[in-house]
Amino acid sequence: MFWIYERLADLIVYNLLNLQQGERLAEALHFFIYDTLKIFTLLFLVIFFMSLVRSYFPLERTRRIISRHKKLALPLSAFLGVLTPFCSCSAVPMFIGFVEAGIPLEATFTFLVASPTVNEMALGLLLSLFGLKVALLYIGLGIAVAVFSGYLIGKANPRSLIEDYVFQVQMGESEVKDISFKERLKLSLESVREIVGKVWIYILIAIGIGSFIHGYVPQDLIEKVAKASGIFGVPLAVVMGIPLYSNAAGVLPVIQPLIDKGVPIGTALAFMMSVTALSLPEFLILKQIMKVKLIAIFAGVVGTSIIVAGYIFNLVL
Amino acid sequence: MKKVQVISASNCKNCEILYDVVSKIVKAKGIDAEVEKVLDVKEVVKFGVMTTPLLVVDGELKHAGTPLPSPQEIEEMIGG
Repeated sequence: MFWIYERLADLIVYNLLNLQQGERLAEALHFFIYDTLKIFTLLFLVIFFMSLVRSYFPLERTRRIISRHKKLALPLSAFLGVLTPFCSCSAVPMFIGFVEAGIPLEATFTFLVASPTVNEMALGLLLSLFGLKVALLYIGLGIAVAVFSGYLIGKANPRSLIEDYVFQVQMGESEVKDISFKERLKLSLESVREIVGKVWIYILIAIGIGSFIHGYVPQDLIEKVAKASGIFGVPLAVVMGIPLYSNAAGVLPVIQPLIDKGVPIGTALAFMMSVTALSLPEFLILKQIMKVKLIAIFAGVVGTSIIVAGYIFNLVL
Repeated sequence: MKKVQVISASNCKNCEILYDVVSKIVKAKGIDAEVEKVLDVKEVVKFGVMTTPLLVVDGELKHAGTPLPSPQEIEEMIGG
């Protein structure tokens, strides 16, 4: 599919710049050109289509769907959590809205986990760098982590750890505006512009670092490091992901050549999920509705689920 | 005098943007309105929505969530 980019990179590196195949600089430069073109193409496509699908699932409609099918609330919340556009700054009104609609707390937590865990930018980057299989596994594992975490948190009987006002606020009624398909296309293009406009520089820097690793860092060094971290690789990756909130863009292109050279891919996926699902700013927002103990349980359960998912993935692949 | 409220969540970039744009429009067009930023999540759910920011003019919800309306649309909503 991307042979034309390959040709273009060949043309620039070997014909225009006259570098020799096999030279380190040539390898690194070729990798940079090809990867940049491929990553941006796929990012555009994935963000565009995700935004288009998401435009059909505003939070208010999602709440209505889940509250109508309470028996299926858990898997439905995980699935819709992936499809509903959601910013962590809306976590508090979402929580209140779900509670008021009588959606079980397990399902509300599942939604809270699923929504950020499967992130469109991470999905686009995974698809460009590792292919469809890994991207689909990321969605599957994200949903599994959300269902499992939501179920466990629900079992911990969290009601007493949630601020009272959450259960008392009366929610008003609003109508979901229906918009035309043309308008949805316009909005999707807008979100591509917004997201890519925000992160392109990080992606370019990350591809640059990735190209350097690809061309200059020897394979046995990376294998040694991967081996040295051994069984602790996955939890280490999850802990490292917490402070890097929403910077999937600046991280994944660096990881790709590392994986090519021997870092296990489950470790990378666990890292990716941790970056988007566990973040300090989100914990601060959740503090408005939850006691610190519940946030600790939340972080602990989600973190552990991600670690387990990472191990399973490393074992299976 | 109109009462224009931008109801926001904490740590919400789009809320800041909307508040800035609204304030600028009111000032530039000389609209007789008082612009207020409300940082109270209970106010958000009162209008039956779960996404921020909200633009409320004289108690009536004009817009909720992202993408934000264009400056022209905002001007119409405020009724300048």
